[in-house]
Amino acid sequence: MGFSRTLSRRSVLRGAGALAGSTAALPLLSACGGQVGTSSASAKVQAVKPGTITIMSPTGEITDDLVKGFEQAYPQLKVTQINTDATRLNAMLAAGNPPDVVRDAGTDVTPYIASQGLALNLDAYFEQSSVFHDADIMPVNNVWKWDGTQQGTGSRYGIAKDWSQDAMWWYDTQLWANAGLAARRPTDPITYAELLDAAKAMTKSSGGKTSMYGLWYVTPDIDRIAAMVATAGGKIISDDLATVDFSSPEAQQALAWIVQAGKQGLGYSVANPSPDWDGPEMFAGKQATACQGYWYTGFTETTAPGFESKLQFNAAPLLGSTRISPTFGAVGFWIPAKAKNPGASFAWLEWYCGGAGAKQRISAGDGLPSVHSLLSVLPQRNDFERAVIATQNNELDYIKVVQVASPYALNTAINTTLAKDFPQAITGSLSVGQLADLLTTDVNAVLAAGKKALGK
Amino acid sequence: MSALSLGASRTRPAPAPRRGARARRIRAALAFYGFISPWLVGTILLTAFPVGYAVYISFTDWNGMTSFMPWVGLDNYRQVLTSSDTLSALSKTLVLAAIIVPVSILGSLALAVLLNKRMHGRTVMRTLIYLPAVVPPVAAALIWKVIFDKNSGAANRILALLHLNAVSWLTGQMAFVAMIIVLVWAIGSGIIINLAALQTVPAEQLEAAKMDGAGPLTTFRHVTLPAISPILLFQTVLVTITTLQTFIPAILLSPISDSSVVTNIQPANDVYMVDVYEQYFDYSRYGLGSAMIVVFFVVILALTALIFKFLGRSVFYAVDPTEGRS
Repeated sequence: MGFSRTLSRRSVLRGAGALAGSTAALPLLSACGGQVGTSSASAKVQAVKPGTITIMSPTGEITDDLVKGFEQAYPQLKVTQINTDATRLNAMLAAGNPPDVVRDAGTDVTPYIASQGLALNLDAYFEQSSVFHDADIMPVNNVWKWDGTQQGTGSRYGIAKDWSQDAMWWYDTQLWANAGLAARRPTDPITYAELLDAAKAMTKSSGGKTSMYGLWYVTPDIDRIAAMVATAGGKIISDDLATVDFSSPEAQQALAWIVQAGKQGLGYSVANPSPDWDGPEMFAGKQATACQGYWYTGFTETTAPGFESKLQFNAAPLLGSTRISPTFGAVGFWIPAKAKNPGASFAWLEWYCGGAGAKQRISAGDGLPSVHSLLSVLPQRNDFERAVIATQNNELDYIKVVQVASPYALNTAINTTLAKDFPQAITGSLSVGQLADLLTTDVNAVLAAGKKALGK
Repeated sequence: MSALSLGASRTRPAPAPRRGARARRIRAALAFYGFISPWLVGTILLTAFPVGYAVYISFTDWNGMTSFMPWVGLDNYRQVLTSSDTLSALSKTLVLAAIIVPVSILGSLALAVLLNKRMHGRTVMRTLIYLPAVVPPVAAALIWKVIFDKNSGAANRILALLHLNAVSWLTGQMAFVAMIIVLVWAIGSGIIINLAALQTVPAEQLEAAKMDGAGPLTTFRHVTLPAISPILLFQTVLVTITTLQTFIPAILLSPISDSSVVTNIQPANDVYMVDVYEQYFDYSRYGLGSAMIVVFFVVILALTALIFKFLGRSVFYAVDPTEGRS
């Protein structure tokens, strides 16, 4: 048949493949001309335009009541939430159609999102804000700053919604006392060595099973290691944020502590991961301590009412003698550079992180506020809350931005690398020195690949 | 049709029938394209385009977020073929397939033969054995995770009853064993396929073998096995491909924490697709991840070809599979 000779089924399929291939190449050709910036100029302030703002945040974290409150304050705006999903965010950013607001950890992402031109420079918005005033913004928000080379200074790219000093820790006073340990003054920092001894006294194991872990879930995350090292006067990441070094004596001291905790089975570790995180394990009576910050106050009161009577909140431990008590998150929001209605996005930041929404959340004890003026609404309704506030207020003097994030790789990438290498030292025969060298090599390879991908 | 009309058509054969034939051909072509267009559009948009896009990305160092896509040529492929991590993940995956494929095929065949016998409670047994196959993989992995929990799982309780020490099932090398158990547990669908295949063995051939004095093993070897061999070949290919692509059990058997899921995957379970996932979503190396996918596609294609080459010879087709080829 003539028709089938000229356009057979096979030729249709061949044609379809070629069409698909050429279609695939079209957006790529335009993409090739793109450039990666190292920092961006402050965006011109845009007014709030009526419409819908899309917020990417973990499902359930922003309650319906809070959304309703915001929509009442801004009747011209509606809020749509989408669940936090790195894959979806990447796809939305790449397609130039990002969410209007993204919830993230400022400590981890700021250099990356700022240097790659993904986040909007918010300096102009903060300057004209009636809610945020420079003097009132707490120093923890410096983790959301980036000057093109350093985190902690320069322009603002986001703000914390609520935060904690995450190296602080809690212990179960009954288990502590039952192990024959003397009660501690909450504001006096314990050393990591003392902590290991206390954990040993509280850990109960038999027949290969552990019924009580004395220590919290020790994850070898870069921010935890860097915080430990900082208290000994050292640092992990180089000044240009392009390389790491785990071989310094301070770093090896931190690595040795994590390895020992894992080897001795004093807490869940990367080689023996927890089926859950600290909270549920502690409330179930399987763990005597938890390395969590102030936000654990409200969490305990609402999740395990009554349990708080057994808890004591303590200053961040020390590896050396320098008191530093950083945040591992300063979780808050950033606005993508290509957000469609940045005025409305910033209105959300103002309302949720510094305005009425912030007041509502902070008064529940779920975290510390982003602004000094809201410290007064932290709950102090009972002895437990008053004791926690006393410890927390004392600890505020030691907040410091410990540089861990790099513009060349997200902390997720670095933590994945650390998690792959650590078990070799905890369950294998790798010495701490060898582990330090391995971590240095592997993490530097990740950073070098990221740097190369940026054409640097 | 009348004689007159037949005669008329004989005397005037030319244009009208050609137009009619052409119209029929066009109608047939339109019908063909009409019917295949949903598939064709779907294939172009959902298969060919993403595949073409992934192949293109494999030649770049794209981080998946920005519009900057530096062209790196074959660099990603060189990395895939020389990276010890990737080759280790590939070897773990091949070992996994080498264990799962024979165990699944032979296990499901043995159980199917047993369940094909006339016995009391056969239907109940078939249902029970097939049940794991209808449990969604996510639920299955989570159930096994509870069973394998070191401190409170059923597996260690059984060991305790036997006065044995608890085993850390989900960590270290045991995590690989746990993953194998989870994968083998779901052989129910293979059993059903084999049961269906066993029903197709011609009864007269079985009868003839019996009359000729063949025992059960001889009958199975010389009658049953050849009859179901095409199904076994199909299953071997299918199980090989799905095992090589193992991902969900590796992820879900890992303990969770408040940090990334992937950071808790035990090195023993760091199979190829987990490595690919890490490159994409932990390391933001979309180019390298795509190159890994392309290389893996070639590996799977080669393995499938090898299976056809070596097992295809032993397959007995009741109908000549080459029939109709030009």
